[in-house]
Formats: sequence, structure tokens, C-alpha cells
Amino acid sequence: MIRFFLAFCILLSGLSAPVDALSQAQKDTLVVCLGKARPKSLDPAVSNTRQVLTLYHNWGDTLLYRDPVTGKIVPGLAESYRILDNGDMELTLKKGVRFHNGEPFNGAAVKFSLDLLKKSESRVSRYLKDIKDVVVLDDHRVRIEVVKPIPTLSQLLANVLFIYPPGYYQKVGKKGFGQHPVGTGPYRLVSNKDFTEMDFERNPRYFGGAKGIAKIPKLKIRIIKETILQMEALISGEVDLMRSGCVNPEQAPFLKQADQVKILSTDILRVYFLVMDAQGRSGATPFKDKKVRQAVNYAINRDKIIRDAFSGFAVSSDSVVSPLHFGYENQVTRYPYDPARARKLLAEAGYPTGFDTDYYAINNESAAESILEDLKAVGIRAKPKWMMGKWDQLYQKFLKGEIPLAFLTWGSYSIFDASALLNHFFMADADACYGTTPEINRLLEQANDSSEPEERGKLLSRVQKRISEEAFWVPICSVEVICAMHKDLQFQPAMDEIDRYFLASWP
Amino acid sequence: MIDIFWPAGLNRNTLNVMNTANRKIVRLLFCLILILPWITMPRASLSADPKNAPKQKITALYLYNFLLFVDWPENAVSDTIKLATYDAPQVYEALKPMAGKTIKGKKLVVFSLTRPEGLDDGCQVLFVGDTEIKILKELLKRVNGKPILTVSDKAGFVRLGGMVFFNDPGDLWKDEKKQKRFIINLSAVRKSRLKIRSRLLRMSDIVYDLEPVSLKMP
Repeated sequence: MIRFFLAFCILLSGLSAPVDALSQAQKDTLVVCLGKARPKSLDPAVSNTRQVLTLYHNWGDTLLYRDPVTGKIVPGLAESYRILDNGDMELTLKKGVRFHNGEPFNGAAVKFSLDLLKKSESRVSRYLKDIKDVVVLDDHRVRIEVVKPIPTLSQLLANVLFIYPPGYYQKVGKKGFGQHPVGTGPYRLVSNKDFTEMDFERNPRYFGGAKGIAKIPKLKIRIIKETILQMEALISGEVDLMRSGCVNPEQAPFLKQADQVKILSTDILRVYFLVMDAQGRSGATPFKDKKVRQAVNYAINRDKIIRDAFSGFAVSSDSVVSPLHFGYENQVTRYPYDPARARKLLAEAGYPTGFDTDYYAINNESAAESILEDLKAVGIRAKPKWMMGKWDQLYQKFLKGEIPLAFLTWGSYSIFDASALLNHFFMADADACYGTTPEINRLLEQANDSSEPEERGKLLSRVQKRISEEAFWVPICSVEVICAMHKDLQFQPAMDEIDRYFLASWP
Repeated sequence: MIDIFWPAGLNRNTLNVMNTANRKIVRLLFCLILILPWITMPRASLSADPKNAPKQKITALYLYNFLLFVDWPENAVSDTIKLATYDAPQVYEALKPMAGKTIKGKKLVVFSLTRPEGLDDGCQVLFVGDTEIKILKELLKRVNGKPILTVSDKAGFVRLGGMVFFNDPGDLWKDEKKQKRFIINLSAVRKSRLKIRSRLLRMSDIVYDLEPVSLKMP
């Protein structure tokens, strides 16, 4: 009798084998929802969305690398580096590294990359403007020459100086590279289905280094255009992981109680803000008047936005930069929620019945709608121009000076220094500048010239105080990034808001 | 045949000193050890299979999003927002963990109705499961004109005057063109002075006065 029973058990154990095999097949792939909008290119010099930047660090490498656990900058494609007295940096490159197409990585590739990224059409040219040149000392040694010492040079090399394969890039061109990029990173692109579904596989020749070999062999990237559909995909198991920052905070309370999903969050550099066209770049606009800008600051109920639209995954900030930025200053002019005062200021500015304006928004529809209602309550009739998820299109318009009022967000290219935001938006010659003063410009130049942290901190603090006095922006909040994933997946969101999918693993 | 199941350190000599009863117990224990993984393994794989996605969880997700993206008239909501279910025990169970959470500054109350008269106590959302037509009619009659969003996955719901009909989410996912998740009877919604925000409307097929119309969504 018992023998029969044992035989039955053996049969059962045989039947269970295919089930186990299916489960193993699922674990060979990590399916990630990258966001709502299709990238127009996977080249981070062409598209500066966070999704493209995040993907870059999975298929590409940089000379230096930020360790996501310690936050320290460590060698990446460089074996070692040293900063010279004049601010230049000499780097010894790793030997034997090859791009996915077999092309060797060497000093010539570093020079080619910098030349490419410094071109005016590159999204990161402004960040690299104080890097003069790359001198190739030999195949595996380069010197990065700077116009003047750059306090954030190592962070730039870790986050902005993307490395291109010269031969492949010249062969396929900018468009071809954007469709099918080739790098040295832990994953390599296998197929790109119209930027809505991209398949990657582990780079079999990866040198490892600080990033290490990808733990999950295959990576599938999906674009899902509606937030609720993204959530549905996660709950139903079609997607294993939502890109950090892709999860709408409003969905977090529901996800928290969903038993097949877990959510993690961490503080990041990202800030949300309302930009007003104080320079009149978009045409005649009331925002040129400081009283109007102050009125808008008093009109917005930031606490309500943080509570409802961000579900508490954010903190109110009076400064335009994040508390995580070096040089952050919180002792700035405050504009508490006071719609009556806003209406009074508008009347003083000559707008007792308010005015009409176009109003653009890129992200977090509920926060954008809340702002719309607050503006309406004080008489500002903002016409919504929602471009949710379409960062590339909106940013083009923004740089051209076509936008009078916009609800935007900025992640500072993961550079933990206030200058990464302030230079970009408040230097007079910046395309993204909609308001500055000669004093702010001068203070920023002094901060950029200084290599003394204490002095820089003071200068950056003064810049933030002046920006608040002028009420150029309405700082809304600094946010936590929310990362939602299958309950069994082992993955940690990083404070630099760059997901390392190569570190993800199944138990 | 059964030798392969002897664990390390337990050989025939050891067993020989055992009496028959002990042998039987040991063998039964082996059987149990053998069968346990089989019992647990298929369950784990089943839950990971998207085809077996818990429909009630998805329904709960959408109901939660209705709470976020539907606006009620100011006088229709106090400091709580109430979601009632009728003949939908699984959806009620899926929603129960949300009870007490704060949504748009209001505390969520979730309850299951046992009689249509229970609607007289008021709510903001009513989800109706697989109930009889005559009860469904009774429920819709009771909420008629009131600012209560009515939702169901029961066929013919909109035709009877309900506001939102859920498509079955299971079969629609793969085809992007079919990602319309619900049919919304906009005339019934407007009659009840509710406003549905664009992010829900753009995922819906709209009917107006029960006739399909072409609406341009923002």
C-alpha cells in the first residue's frame, strides 16, 4: 500500500517539473514599465527625459560611477583618476573593454564623446561648457582639460559625459544611434519595437567593474500610456517593476495594500515648481510684474497639493532647489497660502479682475489641476495645455521661450549641487531662463568660479534668497521617488533617481 | 525503488533495528516531505500568471481611481467618502483594506449592502455585482438623480440607467486599440451632477442618452 502511495508521489513530483520550468522562464526576464510617453530617441544627448537617462545607465557606462548604496563616486570605465592643480583631470581607462558591437573603448572614444556632447544641439552641452577638451595621452590615458576648476567635475563624469562608440555612431548617424544605441553597459539592446517595447539582454562580454554583471538575463522595457493601465499591468503581473518616478503618488495608497505588490520610496533631488515668464519671452505677459508673481505664490495651496496629489510623498520647500542639493538654503522669503493677499496684490498690479494666460503642465495631472483651481480662485484664468509625459515636446517649446506659465519638474541630472539647477534656469544666457537679475547672474558666476565649498555654499544661498525675493518661481515641493514592484523582486530605488536594473534579482 | 528516498545517514542497517511500525511512520514522513513542495508550487506559479490576474483586485483598482477622478457636488460629500457594494463579496473584500484611508482629504468608508433600502443612508459610489435584474432596477431607482456614481460589470447595466459599465479587463490588455476599460453613460453622470475627469473619459467609450456619440477628449 505504502509502495503504491510512494509511486504516486513520484508521479506527482514528475508532473510538477514543467510548472517549475515556467516559473524559471518568468524569472529570466525583468519587465519594466518605463513611463507613459514613447521616447523619441534612446540617445541621452537627444532626449533628456529621466526614462532615457535611466536606460542609458543600463546599456551604457560613464567614466566614473555613483555607487547607489554609499552615494560615492567611484571609477567606472576609468581605472583610476586624479585631479591636477589647475582643475584638469587625468584618467587611466580600463583595458580590454569593448562596446556591444565589438568596437574597442579607448581614449579616442572619450574624445569623440565629449566633442559630440558639447555640440550646441546636445541636451547636455550647457552642463559641459566648462570642459575645454579631452587630450588623448595614449589609448588608455586621457586628460580632461577644463576652462576653470569645476566643483562638480566628478559628478559630471558620472552622470552627463555619456560614452559613444565613434565607428558605430559615424556609421548609423544620430537618428540610427537613437533607435539602436550601442554602449559598453551591462545590458545590450536586442530589439526596439517603435520605442514602445524594447528588449535587452545581458552583455556577455561585460567587464563588470563597479556595476557588476546583470543578475537577470533579460530586460523588457514597456511604455504604457495611461497611469491606471500601468497599475493594472503591475497588479496583474504583466509588469514586474515600475520605473522609479513613474508611479503616480496618488496610486500609492492603493498599491500599499495590494498583496502582490510592494512599494519602496526614497528622497531624491527632484523638485516640482511653477515657472512664470518674468522676462516676457512668450510675449506681453503680466508675469513681468513682480507683484503678479508674488500674487501667484500666495495663491497656491502647496500643502493641499502635497497631501492630495503627492499623497504625502513630498515636502514643501520655500527654496527652488532640493534639501539634498549642496548649497540648499531654506531661509528665504516665504509665501504662505493666502488667496486674499494674492487678490490684493493682483489689484495693486492693475489686474483687479484677473487675467487670462496659457498654462502648461508636464506631470502629475492632479497637482496641475489643483494649481489651476487655485489660480482661478484669485481670478487668474489659466487655459490648460496639458502635455503629460511629453517632456521632449514641452521642453523644446520651453527652451524657445514660448511658455508664459508652466508646472514643471527637474531632477538636476542627478548632480547633488544647487548649481546644477540654478545655472540651468537662472543664468542670463541659459535657454531655460525665464527670469533672473544681474546680481543673481554675478553670484552664480562667482559660485561657479569658486572651489571653496564654504564660499560656494554662501553664494548659492544668496542666489536662492534673491530668487525668492523676486518670486520668479513658485516652488511646490521636493519629492520622494516611489518604486512599485512585484512583491518577490529584490530591487532598491536610488537617491539619484537612476534605476539600476542590472542589480535587480529574483529570490 | 524506494531506496532513492533514504536520506543521508539513514541506511537499511539503521532501519533494520526499527520495528515495522516505526518503518511505516518514517515512510509516511518521506511521503509528506515529497508531497509538500508539490502542494505549494502550483499555487505560487498560478498567482504569477497574468492570465489568472485577480479580477476583483483590478475592479477595486478602478473603483479607487473613480474616487480620485470623479468630482461630487460640494454638498454631496462630508468628511467621509462612502463606497457601497451590492452582491459583490469579492470586490468588497478587495476594497476592505482601503477602508479608513484618506482620499482627497476624506476618510474612505467601505460597506456591503444587504438590502436596497440600505442606500437610504447615503453613499458616493455604488458597485453592483451579479444581482438579479429586478434588484438592479430597484437600486438604480433609489439612486436616480442623486449624486451617486453607479458602477457595475453586469451586462446591460448602462442600458438600465447605470453610469459606468466595466469591460472584462482580462481579455483587453494585449490590444492597445481595445484598451477602453469602461462604457460611461454621460447623460446619467451629468444628471447626477457628477464630473468625471478627462483621464477616465479617455479610457472609456462614451454613450449619451444611450446612443453612442463621438466625443473629442482633451
